[in-house]
Amino acid sequence: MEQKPLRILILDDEPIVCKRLQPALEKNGYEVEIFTSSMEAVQRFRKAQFDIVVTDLKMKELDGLQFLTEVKDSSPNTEVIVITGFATMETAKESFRKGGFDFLSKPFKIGEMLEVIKRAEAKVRQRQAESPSREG
Amino acid sequence: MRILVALNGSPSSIHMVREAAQLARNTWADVTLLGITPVDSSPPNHNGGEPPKGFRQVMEGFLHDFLEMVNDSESPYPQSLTEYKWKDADKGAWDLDCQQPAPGKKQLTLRMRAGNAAKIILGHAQVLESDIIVIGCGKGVGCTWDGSLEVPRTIVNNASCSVFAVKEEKQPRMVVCCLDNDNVSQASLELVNQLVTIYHAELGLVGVTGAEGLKEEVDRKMGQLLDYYAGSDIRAWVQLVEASSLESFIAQAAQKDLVALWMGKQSFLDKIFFRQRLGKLIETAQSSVLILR
Repeated sequence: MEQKPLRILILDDEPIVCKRLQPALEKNGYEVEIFTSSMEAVQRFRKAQFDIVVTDLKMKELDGLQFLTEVKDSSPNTEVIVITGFATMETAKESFRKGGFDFLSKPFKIGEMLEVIKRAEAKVRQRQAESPSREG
Repeated sequence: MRILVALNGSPSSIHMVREAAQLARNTWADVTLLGITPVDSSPPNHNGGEPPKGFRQVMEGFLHDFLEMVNDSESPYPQSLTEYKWKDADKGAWDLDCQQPAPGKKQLTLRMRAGNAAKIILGHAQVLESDIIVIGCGKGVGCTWDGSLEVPRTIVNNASCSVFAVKEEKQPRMVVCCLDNDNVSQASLELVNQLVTIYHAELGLVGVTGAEGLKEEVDRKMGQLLDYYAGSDIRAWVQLVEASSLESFIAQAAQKDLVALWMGKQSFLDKIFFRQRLGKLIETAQSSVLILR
């Protein structure tokens, strides 16, 4: 049976990052929505189900760690990948403590992001296979 | 981020291992330590998959130094190396895969190769899709690889990613970025962000002027860069330097700051100054230089 494509939300206040990632991920079969405003991303996330979230850390309004918390609180099975151009050991650790799936520092190549997305997808698919009714 | 650290076994390589570790420790990058030995010193792979002992011990020493630098209970790199074994990758090629990437874990690999150093380093950077190559130079004047000026020069001239030519460990107060064109990649902006964050450094933007002053497009780009960094809460100052005095400016600035050169496709630094003289510039700079691409 053909699997439903996974839905990915990308949040980065730099439009160039979103514009670079969206076509590459769609080409790989994912359904992608992009946001440059964290408040708009939060509103959308509250209305729609996403399997994977890719979020920048340093943003005006709600920052990436706050968004990560919001996502994991309302949808614990959504895997969150944190990206940042201003990495410190503490922010990386904090991302994992809050339930992040992985942490990528910028710059990164599309290939590196795709590898991480595929690992997140494997985890999501495994969970779906184990409890299909809940993930429906 | 993916970091490629090119090592030749010289004791001064420890500086670049430490610089690379500082970068990795904060960015949780995938890291490849690439040790290269001249081809004539490498016997065929006949000793049960293990590389030549002397060079292997030096490289494993660097790996341990790296791990010591990134050591932390929540580090994404392995805590110890007891369970890992060398494997033959090819003739004159050995790999020690210390850790594959996984959630919360980053890739750490030690590779040993025998042959033409520049060719091997550039080839690995391309295949691994490295974001930055870290290469070492002896401290002070000169930038050599096993006594040759050609290897660092070939790397900085031909790498498609950024190159960090490390002469010594440093905690710069400022990252000074020189620009002569408006072709600035997003990757280079992001790399500057990371370095400014890691070093808690200020940022200097230096516009390189020609005979007719600062080019309009460079002026515009510098304005955009200032806005970009201001939006990221990074404090930046601006200065103009004539191309004719750039070499002495860099030599001076490199004494206490980290100098970075934006080498976009349209850079006259890249086409003229860089191709012919950057190798010399890196040789004469007393301290580390970062080439941004």
